[in-house]
Amino acid sequence: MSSLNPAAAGPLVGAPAADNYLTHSRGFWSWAATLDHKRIGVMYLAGIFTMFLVGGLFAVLLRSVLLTPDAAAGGVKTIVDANMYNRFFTLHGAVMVFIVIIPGIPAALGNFVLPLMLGAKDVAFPRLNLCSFYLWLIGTAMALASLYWGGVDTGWTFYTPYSTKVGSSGAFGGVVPVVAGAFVLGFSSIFTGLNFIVTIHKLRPPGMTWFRMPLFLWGTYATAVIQVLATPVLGITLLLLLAERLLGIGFFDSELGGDPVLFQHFFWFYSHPAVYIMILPAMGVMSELISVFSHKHIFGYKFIAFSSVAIAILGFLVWGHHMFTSGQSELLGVIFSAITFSIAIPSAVKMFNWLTTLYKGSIDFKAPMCYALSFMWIFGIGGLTGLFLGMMGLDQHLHDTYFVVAHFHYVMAGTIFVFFGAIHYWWPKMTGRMYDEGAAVLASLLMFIGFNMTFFIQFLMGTRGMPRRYYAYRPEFQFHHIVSTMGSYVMLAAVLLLIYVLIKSLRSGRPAPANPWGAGSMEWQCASPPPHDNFKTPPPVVDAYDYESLEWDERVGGYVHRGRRGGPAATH
Amino acid sequence: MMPISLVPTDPGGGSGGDAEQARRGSIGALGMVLLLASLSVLFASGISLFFLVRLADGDAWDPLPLPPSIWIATLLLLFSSATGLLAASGAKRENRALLIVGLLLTTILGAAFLGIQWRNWQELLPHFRQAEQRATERAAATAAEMGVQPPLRSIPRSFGVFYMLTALHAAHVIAGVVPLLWVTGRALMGAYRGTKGDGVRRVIVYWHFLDVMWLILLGLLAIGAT
Amino acid sequence: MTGILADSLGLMPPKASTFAPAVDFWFDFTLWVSIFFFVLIIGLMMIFMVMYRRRPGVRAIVTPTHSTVLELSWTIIPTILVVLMFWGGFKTYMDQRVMPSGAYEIGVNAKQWAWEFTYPNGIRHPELHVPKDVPVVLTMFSDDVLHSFFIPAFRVKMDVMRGRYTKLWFQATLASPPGGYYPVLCTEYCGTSHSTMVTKCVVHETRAEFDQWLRDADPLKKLTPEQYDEYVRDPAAFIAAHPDIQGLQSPADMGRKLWDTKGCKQCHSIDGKVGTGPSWLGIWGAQHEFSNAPPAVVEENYVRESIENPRAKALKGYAANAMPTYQGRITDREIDSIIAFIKTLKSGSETK
Repeated sequence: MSSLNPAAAGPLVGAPAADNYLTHSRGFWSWAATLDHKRIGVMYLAGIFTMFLVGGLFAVLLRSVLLTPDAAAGGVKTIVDANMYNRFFTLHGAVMVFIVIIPGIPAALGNFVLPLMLGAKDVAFPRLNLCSFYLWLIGTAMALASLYWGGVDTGWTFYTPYSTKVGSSGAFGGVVPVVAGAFVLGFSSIFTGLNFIVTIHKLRPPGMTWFRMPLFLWGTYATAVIQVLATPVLGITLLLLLAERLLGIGFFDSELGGDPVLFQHFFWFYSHPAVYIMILPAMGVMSELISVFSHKHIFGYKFIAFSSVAIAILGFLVWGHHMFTSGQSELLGVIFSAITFSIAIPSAVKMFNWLTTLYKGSIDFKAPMCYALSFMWIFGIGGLTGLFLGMMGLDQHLHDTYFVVAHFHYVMAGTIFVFFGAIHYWWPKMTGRMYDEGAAVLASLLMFIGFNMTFFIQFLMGTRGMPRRYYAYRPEFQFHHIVSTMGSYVMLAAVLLLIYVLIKSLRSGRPAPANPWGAGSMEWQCASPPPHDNFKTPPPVVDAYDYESLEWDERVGGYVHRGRRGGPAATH
Repeated sequence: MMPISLVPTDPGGGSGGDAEQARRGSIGALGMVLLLASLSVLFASGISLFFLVRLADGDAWDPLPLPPSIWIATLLLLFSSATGLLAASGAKRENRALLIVGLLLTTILGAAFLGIQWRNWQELLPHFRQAEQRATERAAATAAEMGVQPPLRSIPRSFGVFYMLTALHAAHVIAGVVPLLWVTGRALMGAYRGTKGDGVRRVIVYWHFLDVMWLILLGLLAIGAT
Repeated sequence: MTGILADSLGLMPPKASTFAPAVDFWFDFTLWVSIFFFVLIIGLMMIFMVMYRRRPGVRAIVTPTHSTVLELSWTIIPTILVVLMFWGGFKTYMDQRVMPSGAYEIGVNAKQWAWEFTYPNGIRHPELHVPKDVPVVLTMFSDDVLHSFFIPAFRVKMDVMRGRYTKLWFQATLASPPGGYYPVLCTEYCGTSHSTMVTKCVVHETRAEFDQWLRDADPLKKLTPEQYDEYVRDPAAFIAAHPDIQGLQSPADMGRKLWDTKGCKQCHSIDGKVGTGPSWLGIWGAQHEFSNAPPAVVEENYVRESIENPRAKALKGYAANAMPTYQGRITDREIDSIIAFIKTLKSGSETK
């Protein structure tokens, strides 16, 4: 290795390098037709964040509707009628699941970070990568186009026969464009997964062995396997749904001998693994954040890595736990329940490993760490409440109540916390600018408070028997709903503050050093923002979680390697 | 379209040489394996649907007359796989004539397969209409029995499965013909000279996959005809 | 078996069935386990956050990066606990799913957006009434989309679907207070009025009380043809002369009750507001135009046809197939009552 001297090289000196991936070429087409994984990642991030705001807007609207109980009970629903409310929660769910969270961490941040972390120059198939981005764009446009046809009111699960027979207005309705949009988004997801698997297999530089890879890459790899192998089932399910709605084929229609439960099996065969598509990359980011901001080697690397793989595999075998009350056979239910419990173990293992990583660390409460610690709390609750739902006898009571709503928000919306943490973490690398730490931490605290206000009380509603997707409800739940809605407003404020922080950083942020956090993984060894082709020569591979040689350097305002010149033992 | 994108653009900085060539080849090959794995799941779920529907329907299954020309279509596809082999070996041995003839034949046979499939669908239409009539009556009877409104129309599910599976396959054949045209065009313009033609071979692998899938589907349809 | 935390914190609805104690017990068990682990993890996390916060000049202390003993123990201990939970869930579930023999059977019909219960004597009623301490099996089916039958107080839930019967059983252990009831809810999203697809479950203290209710459930059905004619001719006089027939009201009032309970009100307002279907206010005698039939005036036969065969005439401006048929689900006498009720809804009154 010739240039083993990053400490003395240009990238570590204060100002952003003149030639980086952002300035490398200019003009609309240099972005629209780019094959650079970093630019594609940035475009994804802009798109996904915008759609997060759209999905969040629907959430705030529907929470506002729920401030008052029921016309019959003396309350007045002033904002919208039941049909509109049903459209709100459907679009909130569909946008957040298919458009925001599933591609969120892998497509936006994974695209930007994965090749850098690996020490590669790009993903394996850059054109395919651009193609996935445009598919995401088209799918999103199709889903939003449904608003033109009156929106969708089927719930994001599109359960038959409601979605094939009634739902919305007319035979076409809003259901067709949304379902077709989700279909296209599925392709986008498959291509991203395929790209990442090949990249990780084939583009690791010499010395980057499987067990030297940062855990984010393990998380992304496990995710990619699910994306490639589960998403086709969603494709065929949605095609069948369209065929049934437009042509009346009757696979799911009991009048023709079809089976409505069959749709649920097909749907959850994808959509449960999809939960792990959402959570596994988040867990990968968590391992990075916890270790970096405690300045301490991650504990139990292999257990974390293998638990990702275990979750990915088991995740394929638990879909039926969404159907304990659907009339599926009792035997199936028992099997699904048993496997569901087994999946709790690898998740618990990760929690304990993160905890032990904190032990005797040097914990720095930067915004990304605040989001990460929030996630420990949130995922702790989300994971543990999953146990209640996995118990078949209890699920009979809790299924389709607010308990479930709260549970999956604690899990799936919990990943949004990691998503935000990751945005802050890699923001200096992406933009070359630091953000206002104080305001960002404040936003994360507000978000944490708002989130728990919104969703914790929903557990209490759920156990008392408040069903989900209810426009009108019994007055005994009004207090709970008001608290929950207020919480959503706090989260809204937090998101607005977050946007302010990010915009301010873009306009007037301090130039970022190459390694502002003292992280050991590869992406921090190139300049911020990275040059167009990442690394002139593959950088030396070191233990990504070894912080011993990293020291704060006041002159560059970031961390630099000491003693790299001497060649740490890990370097090949 | 998918296989084209799977011809990897050089991520490594453009140094030529055999080692680089081999590396790129193995990247593309892994991409193709994953794509085929993904597609296998797709077809597998289609096939399991066939069995689920067949079992659920029992005696109510409307037997599906297989149009005779479906056998011609099968032969064409098998031939196209054989000519694909020719093209692949042409690419490997750097025999341009063999490569181009093989590719042209494969493309033409593939297009002919699609043409015959189109005819098959049309031929089945009158049967389909009759069966739809029967299915609608059956549905009306069930609805009356259960005291509910009958559906507006209903399609016999054997035909539903037939059209769905064959259309799924045809869509993937189209997705194979397009890159075939692409590599044929490139071969005619003189590309792949002095290379092992990895791109060509991957398109052909995809083509073999479609062939195998078709044989499986054909087996299912034969079961469905009884 | 009971749940200490669940009870003292009021987390669960009243325990009104034989399942409730077991469900609450396992809920409590899981809750204790969850609290233990949550406090352990988050407590330690917070202690670490304080103890090991970053301080100038203090570096992280290098500790072992893995420990097989530690990692195996936090893999194995949770495994034992979840095996226990699985067993608890499994046992309660099997109790819930294995139907007892010789139970009292009630049919349940779900449709957008109303429940209807068919009792062994043929009475169809929008409310569920059951005797205490008697096992009851519900056989359920849906006319249209998926619904789900849920009584929180009994801890039971089951999806209801078209074309397949699903079953659910329970044994109530706590009579509902006089005038009170346990809510019956639909928990599978089923469209516009999903959230008002709610009815009452009344648990009678004794079997005799339940039987009495059942006899009185449909006063119209009890009348002989001669009595019925007499009642229609002069309802007020007939009701006054027969105080023994409980619940009998004038035909218009009976119709109003049916409108309230049979699912009519979900789509047909009586105050002129346009819903999924036309409002009944001022509809009597109005001229209706159809997309598939010549215009007609709203009178007895038209109303009867619209109830029994709603697709025969598709009213312009409304979805043609929104309304399910009520054929076989409503008696002639009930249709008469509804007609009588519609007649009273004249527009131009102060409600407009």
